[in-house]
Amino acid sequence: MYPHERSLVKRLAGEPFALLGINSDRDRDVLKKVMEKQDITWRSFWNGGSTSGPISTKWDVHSWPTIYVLDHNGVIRYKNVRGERMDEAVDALLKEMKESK
Amino acid sequence: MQFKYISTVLLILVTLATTHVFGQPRDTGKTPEAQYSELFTQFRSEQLQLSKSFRETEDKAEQIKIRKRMTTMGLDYSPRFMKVATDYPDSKAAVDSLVWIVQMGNRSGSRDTGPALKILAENHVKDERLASLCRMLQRTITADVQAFLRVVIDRSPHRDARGMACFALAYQMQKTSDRTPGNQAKAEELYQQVVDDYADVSYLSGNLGERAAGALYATKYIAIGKIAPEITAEDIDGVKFKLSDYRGKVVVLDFWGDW
Repeated sequence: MYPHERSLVKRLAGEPFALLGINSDRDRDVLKKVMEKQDITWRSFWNGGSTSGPISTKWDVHSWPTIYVLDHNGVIRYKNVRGERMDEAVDALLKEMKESK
Repeated sequence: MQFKYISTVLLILVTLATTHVFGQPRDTGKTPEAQYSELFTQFRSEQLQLSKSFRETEDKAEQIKIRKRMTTMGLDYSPRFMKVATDYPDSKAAVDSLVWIVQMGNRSGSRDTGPALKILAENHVKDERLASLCRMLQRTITADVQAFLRVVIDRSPHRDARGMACFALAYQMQKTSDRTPGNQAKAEELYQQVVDDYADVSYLSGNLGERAAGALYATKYIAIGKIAPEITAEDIDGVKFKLSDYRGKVVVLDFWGDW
């Protein structure tokens, strides 16, 4: 996942796009080291240090990773698109956003 | 003509006699439970032997061969467990054997899974072990499994089995609602039934009620076409922020962990 996400974030730098994580790791300090090592520059919500934290519980997420893609109005448009399909979904929504203006 | 008639009768008699002898359970001295556990032990030791050989060999081709055997060996054992189940249909070993077949089939795609589920539904629906089987089958989305879950919901005397079957079927309906739109409503109805009737049945570290309520909320509000619910939480450095801060941008939300 990391290499693909890194390249997505890099490719769309300057575009109205954000990759946000909801992280369910147990230890923040360990996680910070991983993020540094893996060059994870995007922001993540902290799920309380557990896979059954408040955010994943409310969103009924029980398998990892789970992906949602939202349009610029905050509407959920895609679920669990990975790799190329994630890129296509994001590009389609960016295009739609530009055309709606 | 007469000779032919006699030889036919003889042939039938001989056939009857041999099937009578060989059709009998072979290890007549052993209880069905002993036969089950012997078979189980044999399977386990072959499995352990294979993993040992796998670790010990450096030969790639040999490793591939062993791995193939490990994934398919269950198929060889399935008919033998099935024999225990059909030779002694009323025994505890019958249920153990059928459950074994279903569990194994889940991994290896055995054709015996369907028949085993059918026998369990027809003859053993009152068995309390079906609760854990229903839990295990939650993510195995097949028509055989769904038929089995329906029978458990209707006829099991055990609340935890009924609750688990109800939850598993709800899950399967929800997962297949893309292909079969009517399943969305069925999923919601079944999740509601879990919330109403089986909320306190334990599931993983919590209970079915929490999970079903979560799933109901998600099917209604966290679906394609709906506005994503707000998220307000700290980031990794402890700074609070909101999902709606990113309104006006296309957002990929990634539920992740480094594991």
